[in-house]
Amino acid sequence: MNLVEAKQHVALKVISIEAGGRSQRAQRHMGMGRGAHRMSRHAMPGHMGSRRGLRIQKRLGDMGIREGTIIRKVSQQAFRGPIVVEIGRMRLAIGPFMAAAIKVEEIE
Amino acid sequence: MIKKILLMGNPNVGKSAIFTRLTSVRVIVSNYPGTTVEFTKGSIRLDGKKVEVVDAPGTYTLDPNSPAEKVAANLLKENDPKETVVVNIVDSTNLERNLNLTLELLSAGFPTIVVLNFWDETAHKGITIDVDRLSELLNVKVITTVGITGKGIKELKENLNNAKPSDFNVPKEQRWNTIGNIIEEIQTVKHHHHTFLQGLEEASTHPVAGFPIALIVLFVSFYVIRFIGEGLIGWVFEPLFNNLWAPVLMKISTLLTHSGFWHNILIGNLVNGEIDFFQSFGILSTGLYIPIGAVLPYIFSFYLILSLLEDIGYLPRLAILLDRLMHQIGIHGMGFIPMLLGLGCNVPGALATRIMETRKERFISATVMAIAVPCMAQIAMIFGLLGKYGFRGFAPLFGTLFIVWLVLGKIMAKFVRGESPEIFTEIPPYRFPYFTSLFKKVWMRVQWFLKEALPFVLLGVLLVNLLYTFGVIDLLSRIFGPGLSKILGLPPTAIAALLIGFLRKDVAVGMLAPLGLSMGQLVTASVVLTMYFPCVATFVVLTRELGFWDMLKSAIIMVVSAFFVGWILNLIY
Repeated sequence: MNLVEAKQHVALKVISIEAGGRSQRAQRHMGMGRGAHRMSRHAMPGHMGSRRGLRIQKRLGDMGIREGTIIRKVSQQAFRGPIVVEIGRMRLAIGPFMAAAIKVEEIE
Repeated sequence: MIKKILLMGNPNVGKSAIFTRLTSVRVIVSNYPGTTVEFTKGSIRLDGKKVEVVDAPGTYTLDPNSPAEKVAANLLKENDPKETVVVNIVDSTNLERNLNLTLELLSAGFPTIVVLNFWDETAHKGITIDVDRLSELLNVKVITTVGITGKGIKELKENLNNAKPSDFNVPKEQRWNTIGNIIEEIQTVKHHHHTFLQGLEEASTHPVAGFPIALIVLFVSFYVIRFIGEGLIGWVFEPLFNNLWAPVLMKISTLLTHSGFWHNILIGNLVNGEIDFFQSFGILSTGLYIPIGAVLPYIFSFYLILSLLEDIGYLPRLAILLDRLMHQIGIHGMGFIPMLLGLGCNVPGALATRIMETRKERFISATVMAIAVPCMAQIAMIFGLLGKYGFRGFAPLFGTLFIVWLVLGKIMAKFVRGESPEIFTEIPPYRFPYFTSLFKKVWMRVQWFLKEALPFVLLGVLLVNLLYTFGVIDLLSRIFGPGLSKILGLPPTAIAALLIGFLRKDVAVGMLAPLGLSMGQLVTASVVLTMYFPCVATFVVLTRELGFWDMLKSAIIMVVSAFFVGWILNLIY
């Protein structure tokens, strides 16, 4: 399950952050710009990771979100808007594309 | 030998507040990440010697993601570790995330002091930190402070001279593990109940409840700005000008025999034998009335409310709610902050575009801001002119600008090359504003306005008079006037307002007053004046931020769209 699908207000453990891109269709669906489509061609499944994907990993990493981090989803805006998560005492707004790259599982 | 002190840290950890305390140079302090996008320099005396202090923009890492972060990272590269002390300011309520930059900084080999700021908040958040042990582990001095009240600053000053480089150096891959271990050892967090403020925090980003809250906040803000602005004008500034200043001017007018070159320049035209502060257009009459009587009250009330919203920490939440709307024009929610600041003055608005990550986003946000966001000086003058029509006057004006903003933005989102990344921002907790620092900030902004705007307004009014006296405006209105009338439906002399609009938009709007325009013409002229080109101060900053070629493109978009929209409005009215 990824962060977009995850339940709110429960503790979630980050299993992985995918460096690969999504399909073009999924990106268009999320309202990405033209550049995003171009970018995603490099991001085939099994590929080392797209530039965009690697940047997502880096930016999340800079904020302390990595495999094993415990986070909590606080809110999610309608129509694929941003998602607010809590990590410790910090709150972070994350766009849906980035959130979809974060795979999580619920923990007790 | 220390020559320089760099204040480094994550965004929104209070670097600017500590900078102000150290140097007594005042910089804007707010409660959202990205308030400081440029570095500010000040100085401090250490053992009788002057040492430079630099307030860097916040960054999460020395491997930067945005131009503002790059400014911070470059500061380290440009300075010599032998002469520079790094003061790493840390949000003690968010220690774990902050330590990442701390470890990066320690690896850079500069003499370092770690400052745990917001120390007062740890207590009510149930956080305890073993400061001595942290100092031992990192092998640097650690000091606790409350930047906004000045607690701990003295101790920081006393320790600056003894700062030493740390030998703490972990490879990048192990950094987060190391941080985990440190946190485990020195920090304990007690679970505690939700406070009232946290309840509000939840509500204001709630996907349903957030919107009515935002609407209420914005409407209340608008009405309070209008109420304070109009109140100050009606009860303070107008009486002052009419009862105290007008008689003085009439005496001068009599001395100058009510006519002649100097009378025109200083006093302007008398309307029915009296001074009319909107229409006379002398340096001492309208020249002083525009910035002080008409605009200053609104500048004050706008910045009072903006500063309050900034310090509470509401703006990033609004950015989340508006994220979907902003994506329509190819930028994410934080792009709303340059727009809001631009509403005060386009110059800080243009600077704030640096919080955006890509060139595409910066181009779009700077261009739509310069085109469709009128500054408070201009709005105040428009209120003065259109005020008597009330909603009937304002709605088409601001409605048109909003449509222009959306349509142009959508077109640019489609055609400007580059990426539109998603929102990715920290949301600070709500904080009760400290009123002394709030008023200092408002006062700084008012001072800045007086210093930047007053000379330009006086120059503008002088120029108007000279251009009229030497017949330049007659000539221009004969050449361009007919075309202008045809396209925009404005009298040929309105060309003078467009000319002066390059200098100051408030003066330009003021120049419409004596023309006796209808409501429709006023709306058209105000829209065109907002859109066609930025004022010279904004133009200079935009050129610096965008570069020559992007600015040229942006300018073409501005001129073309302004006359197109003006033409449409002319057809409607």
